[in-house]
Amino acid sequence: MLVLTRKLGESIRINDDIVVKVVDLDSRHVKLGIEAPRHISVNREEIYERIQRENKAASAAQDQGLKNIADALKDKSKDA
Amino acid sequence: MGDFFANLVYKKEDILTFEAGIPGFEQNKSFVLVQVPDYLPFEWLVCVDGTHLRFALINPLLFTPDYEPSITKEQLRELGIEKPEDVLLYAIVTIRENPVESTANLVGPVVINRTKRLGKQIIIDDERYGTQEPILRQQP
Repeated sequence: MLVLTRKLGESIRINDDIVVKVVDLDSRHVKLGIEAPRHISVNREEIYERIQRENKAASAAQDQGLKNIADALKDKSKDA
Repeated sequence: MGDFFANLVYKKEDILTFEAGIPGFEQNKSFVLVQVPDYLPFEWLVCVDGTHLRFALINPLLFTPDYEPSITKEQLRELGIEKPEDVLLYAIVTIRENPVESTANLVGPVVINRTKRLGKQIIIDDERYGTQEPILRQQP
């Protein structure tokens, strides 16, 4: 991990087109401003980790039961 | 399903490339979309790079008809999407021990460009949706 020390108002440039700036600072929080091309997603790490965990759980589950819910969904759309 | 997909036969042009992989599986970039009649409307995203990996998918509109994920046009363009007909939209399903309690991840929809054979799980920033949305809702 590259570790850089920045003061309030200073920035980091990633690649040519991503800038991370320290916008505000107190003893417990850093407020970061991020400039990045619109096709690049920027997320809080805990959201990304939550997606990773959910994907791992999804990949590990037993499949057979899916038939039950598939039938239930088909019945539901018949009733609709 | 275990080894159900072990002998999957598919054509090279069926392969979908997930250039960024999928969160948690960033190195797995080649998948094929499979429909198994008994499991419809669920479909399967099956990894074809030799790894035993597959995800159950569902079209989120089947149980959340007003699902409107905030995906930017730049994100669509990055997948080479030029028209609505190019797009397939899915949510990854987590099958629960009691299958009728299975949930779908509406925070990370899987977007596929069926024409250019590209895919990506896009994380959306929207408080309306969760990673574990029940697929069968209780009728009020």
